[in-house]
Amino acid sequence: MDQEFDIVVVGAGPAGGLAALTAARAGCRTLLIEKHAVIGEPLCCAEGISLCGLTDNIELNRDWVAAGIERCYLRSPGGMELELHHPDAGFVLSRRRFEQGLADMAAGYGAQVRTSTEAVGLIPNDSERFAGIRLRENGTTYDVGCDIIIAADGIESMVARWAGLDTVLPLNRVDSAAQFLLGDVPELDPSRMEFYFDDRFAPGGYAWVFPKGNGAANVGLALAPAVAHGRKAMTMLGEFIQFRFKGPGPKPLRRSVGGIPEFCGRKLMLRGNVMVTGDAARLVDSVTGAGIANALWSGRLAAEAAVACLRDGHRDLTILRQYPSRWMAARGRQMRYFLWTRNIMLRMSNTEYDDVIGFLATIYNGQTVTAIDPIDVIKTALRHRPSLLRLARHLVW
Amino acid sequence: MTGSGATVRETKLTLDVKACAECGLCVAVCPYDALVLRPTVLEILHDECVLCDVCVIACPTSALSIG
Repeated sequence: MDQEFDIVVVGAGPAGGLAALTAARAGCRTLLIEKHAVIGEPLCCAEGISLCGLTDNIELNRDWVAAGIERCYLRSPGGMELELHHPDAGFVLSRRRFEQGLADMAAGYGAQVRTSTEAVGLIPNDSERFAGIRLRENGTTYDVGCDIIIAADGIESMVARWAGLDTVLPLNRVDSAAQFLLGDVPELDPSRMEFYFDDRFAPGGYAWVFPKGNGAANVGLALAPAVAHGRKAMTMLGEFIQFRFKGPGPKPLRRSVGGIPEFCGRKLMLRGNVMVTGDAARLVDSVTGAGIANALWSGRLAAEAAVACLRDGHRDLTILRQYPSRWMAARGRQMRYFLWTRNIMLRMSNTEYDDVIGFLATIYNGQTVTAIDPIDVIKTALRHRPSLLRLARHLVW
Repeated sequence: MTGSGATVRETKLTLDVKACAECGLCVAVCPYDALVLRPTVLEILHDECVLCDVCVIACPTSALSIG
């Protein structure tokens, strides 16, 4: 085997970048690989993140921020509107600047970063642990020995698959998304995120307008292929733009598409000495589809458990179990609640969306909030409008 | 089937390279490991593919089709 590392991290997105940074800062010999030539490309993301999702995990660098968010706007199919004033709600990032920043910081702490380098397989050792990973760079295949592999390879999740985990996403557990970056967007509030619920263009999901500064915005939608009856995200996006801009809208500066996996608990997070993070482990908020904060949490906690394991004289792999345990303790309750809510939302009609958003507007419109606990919002809605409880019938199937 | 000049056209999964954005969603939903996303191209392993249609339904851009 060619080279020895303590930790090899596959994929230089938010999860992989922060994992490599955390491991290298703790003094581990760390290799971060990225199959694309440029870190941060291609983009498959709407780039929104809450303030705490970022700052709980890493010190904020303003260079990463494309726009600060202070207001959220929700619109139901029948035109009910909810506008929430929430100072310091979060940001729309420049994922490219953010991911390159993480990789640069990891390199600054001594991590090796190799772009245009693809993982092609794991090297078996004994039944419980892999001896290393097989990489391909410029057509040359070589093996790298390491103690721990951190898989941050996104929705494809090939590393976890090679480790023997069943990562196949059933069609009813995934959303299909398309997005345009538009410039010179008319009627754009530079600090407001817009969310549109309507099964005419986003069945089982929603459409969004996220400002990116200088008059530009990420405009996209996600739909659930299982309930979309063959309608395609990219086609539906055209219809949403027609609706939002009452015409064809500005010319797209960039098109991106991608999948949003559904949370499946802790079952894909660990196998032997392979730790799986972010989208690869399906750690995505089921209501909003947000994945960056969960990726950061998982990358950091995985690397911290890996460092603890490497510091143990026997390199006892059971120490790695701290990773799923700590992650579930921090995020598990909210993630399960969101999954439960999504299962209701997938079955809500347009009229029911009017009812829910109309009711929430009577509580929150014009109010300034400093924090939103989504679980409280759901509970409040159910308590004050018992008719919404009939939606619970959707849970019986 | 001799002398007719007819050719049998094989049904298979095809990729519209221009429409594909290499997002990896098809790879994630494929139950048969028949799709591999190389750094700049999606590879279809026709020997593994059973034409189950799952990737065709999931693809956000209609880049995959069976025909």
